[in-house]
Amino acid sequence: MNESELRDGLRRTIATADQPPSMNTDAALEAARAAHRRRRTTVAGMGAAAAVVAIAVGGTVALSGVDRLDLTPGGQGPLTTPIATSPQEAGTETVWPTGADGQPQQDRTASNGERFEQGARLLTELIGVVPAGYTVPQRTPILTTPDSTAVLTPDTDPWSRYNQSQFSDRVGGVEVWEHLASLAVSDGPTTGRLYVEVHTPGNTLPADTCGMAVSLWGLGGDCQVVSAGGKQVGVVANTSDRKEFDRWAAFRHADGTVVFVAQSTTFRGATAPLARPLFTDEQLAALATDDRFHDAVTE
Amino acid sequence: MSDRDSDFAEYFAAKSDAMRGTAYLLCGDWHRAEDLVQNAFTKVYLAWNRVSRHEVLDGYTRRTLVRTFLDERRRGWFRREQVAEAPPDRGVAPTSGEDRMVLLDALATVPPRQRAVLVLRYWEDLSVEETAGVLHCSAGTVKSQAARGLQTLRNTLGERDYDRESAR
Repeated sequence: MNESELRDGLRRTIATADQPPSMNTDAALEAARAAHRRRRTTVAGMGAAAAVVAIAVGGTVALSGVDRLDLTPGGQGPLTTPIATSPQEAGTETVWPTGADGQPQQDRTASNGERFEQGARLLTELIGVVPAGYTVPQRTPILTTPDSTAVLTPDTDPWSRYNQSQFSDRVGGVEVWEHLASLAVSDGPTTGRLYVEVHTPGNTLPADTCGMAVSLWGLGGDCQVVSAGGKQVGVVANTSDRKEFDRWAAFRHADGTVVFVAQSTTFRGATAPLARPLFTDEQLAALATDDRFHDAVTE
Repeated sequence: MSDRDSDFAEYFAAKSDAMRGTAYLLCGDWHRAEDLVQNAFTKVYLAWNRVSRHEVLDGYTRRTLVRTFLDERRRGWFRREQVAEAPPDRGVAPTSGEDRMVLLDALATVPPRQRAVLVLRYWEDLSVEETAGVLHCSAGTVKSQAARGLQTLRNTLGERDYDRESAR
């Protein structure tokens, strides 16, 4: 059996299968909503339990929604906020990393706690490298699905100013995380995109510079290795039909941290594109080696 | 119904059949495939506010589906799925339905991660790089896992052909 025969065989397998009726959308939605309610209940329950404990020991409790829980015993300054720890093994069961609420995350994405904050710092650092003369959204858009008829602008589009941190894998007992930050960058009526993605040490991205560089979002592309301050950086030109990014640079730090910095003259196609790229290849390469992105998620 | 719910429902209605096909090839059973799809979409729903307007929502969902399969497989949820080392000999010329079962049986003998590579590469038609992105591994790993998975399939199907010939 060769690749072509397998491809044909898989298609025949599905085509000749007696497929059951389509899944019930209402049932799927209800199951998803139930999971959502369980998560909220768990988070709230943990908050209440922690509050009881804190009051019992004479401390004070500061709650900001359910995202952060700071326990401050009287007069001793803040204690460390609970942070994500190593995934736990319960028998053969692997659970997600423990979130800031002390409970396993419900999925890979950290919605609060230190990992989330690291992603937020990454966004702050990304804003800090935007060239003079360009503007960025002045406020963080509300991360809810907008009315589909609404006209999105950089100030209302949730993806115009965004960060995310997600657990990737555990390699040799080490948690590997991916942090990303995405930013709309405007010059008058034109808008492009600036993006950074950082993979923490232990990641399994390809070791060779260009193999690593072209792995971003599976986009591939033409890669060249350039030197930035004596460091080898992969700079990629997008050659695929997917146009998320025009060009990007990738660099692996000595500790294994991998930083991608990507740019596009377009932003979701909703506004006029920038007249020129934000950065030259050399500047992109230099940004990829910039310690600020490394330090944002590793310190 | 909230915007989130209505958007999710619309997305589920549009994509769940396709995702179920992928899940079926991964696990070989429609009921488990539907469980996988439900679990994966539930995870997508929980992260909906973060991913729903992302340009790569399909990619996110596909990645969640495959990782859910691999995670549950690792936890033993799919332990019952494990079939004999070689698929059963049916002793007669296969019909199209049997062809389908033969391939599914053979796929089930391929280790889960290699199976995921085969399904992503040859059913979803993802590139090596895209497959690497879904599985968070290198392109070289995808190539080697695909080659090994194909070899396992060849061995399994070859054994079956040998058994069938011997039975004549």
